[in-house]
Amino acid sequence: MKKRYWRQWLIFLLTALVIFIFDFWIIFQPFKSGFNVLINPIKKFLYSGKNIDFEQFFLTAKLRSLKEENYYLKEEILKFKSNLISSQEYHDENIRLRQLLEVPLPQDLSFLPAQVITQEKKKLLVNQGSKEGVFNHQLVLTGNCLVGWIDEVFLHQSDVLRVGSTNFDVPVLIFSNHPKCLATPLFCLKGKGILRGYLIEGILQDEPVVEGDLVSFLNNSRGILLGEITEVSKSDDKIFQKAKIKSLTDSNRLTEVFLLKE
Amino acid sequence: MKINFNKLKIFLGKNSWGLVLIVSVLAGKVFGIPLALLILLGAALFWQEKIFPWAFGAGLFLDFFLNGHLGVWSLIFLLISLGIVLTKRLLLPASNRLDLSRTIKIDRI
Repeated sequence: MKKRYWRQWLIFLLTALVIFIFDFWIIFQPFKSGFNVLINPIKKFLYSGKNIDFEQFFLTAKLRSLKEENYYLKEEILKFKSNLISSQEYHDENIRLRQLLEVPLPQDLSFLPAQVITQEKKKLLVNQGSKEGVFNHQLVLTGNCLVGWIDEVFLHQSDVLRVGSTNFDVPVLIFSNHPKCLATPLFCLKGKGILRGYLIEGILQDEPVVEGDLVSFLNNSRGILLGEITEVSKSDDKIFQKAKIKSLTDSNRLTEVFLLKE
Repeated sequence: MKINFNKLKIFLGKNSWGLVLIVSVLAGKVFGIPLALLILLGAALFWQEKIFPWAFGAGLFLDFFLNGHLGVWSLIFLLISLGIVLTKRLLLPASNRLDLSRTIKIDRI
């Protein structure tokens, strides 16, 4: 080490010693007070910094990043859900179009498509109303199966009375369940009756109605099916038979129906 | 203005270790560790004799800052820095010393 630095170090050491010794008196007190006045704001700032909970700070940062991640993941899930819904819609439409192509409905029939808004056991609410030309007792179909008819019309919505509800009262025709019979049910006629709810009444005893037969409108059936016979039983008066039917539509998964224009 | 700025720039460049030492006194208060002492060890190892004035100044500043007896930390810092400088000179051979206090002059070939 150069002498210059030795000398410098010794001078600093001696100065420090002198300060150390002189500080036993009050000679440096004014300097200390002045310095304290100057440094107090900084000290306050530093002490407030000392109170910072660094662990909490890093945890908050981590929490924030997790929240952001959650937000992006939720967004991704929503995207996937919307994709799923749209693909489900495509799937449903595909099935509907296939059914439309296959059903033996007359070519001259025209339809008004409608979305199902709400479903109840006896009623449906669809998104077409009087503005779109919907009228009372208009038939509502899915494929070639009857869902019900329009019961109440609003401006842009309508109530549909479903097949099977007690107010649904219509004369019906019962015919064999055979592909050829769908277009011309009168040639395969087995019986006639009146449908109330899910029960057909007034079928004559000698009419050979059996389980599995199909039910259509008595007048102008146009290939529209109301249901399928599930049970045949003797009536109490021994003159007529009665039969229970089931609807051919999947009533819980109705998303789109067709209103028959007449 | 520009001349003053350049002077300040040169001063900061030359005395960066010392300034770090002063700042470490304040930072040590926040983190609750003797940061100034640690910085002094590092600075004395690389900056060698040039650290003496800063050791004295930082010690005095720490004394003022802690509102303790003046000169105590100056003496401690000066002794520690001397100890490190001497240890380095005695134990390490000249070829192995990394000395940032001197500039190397390269002659043009």
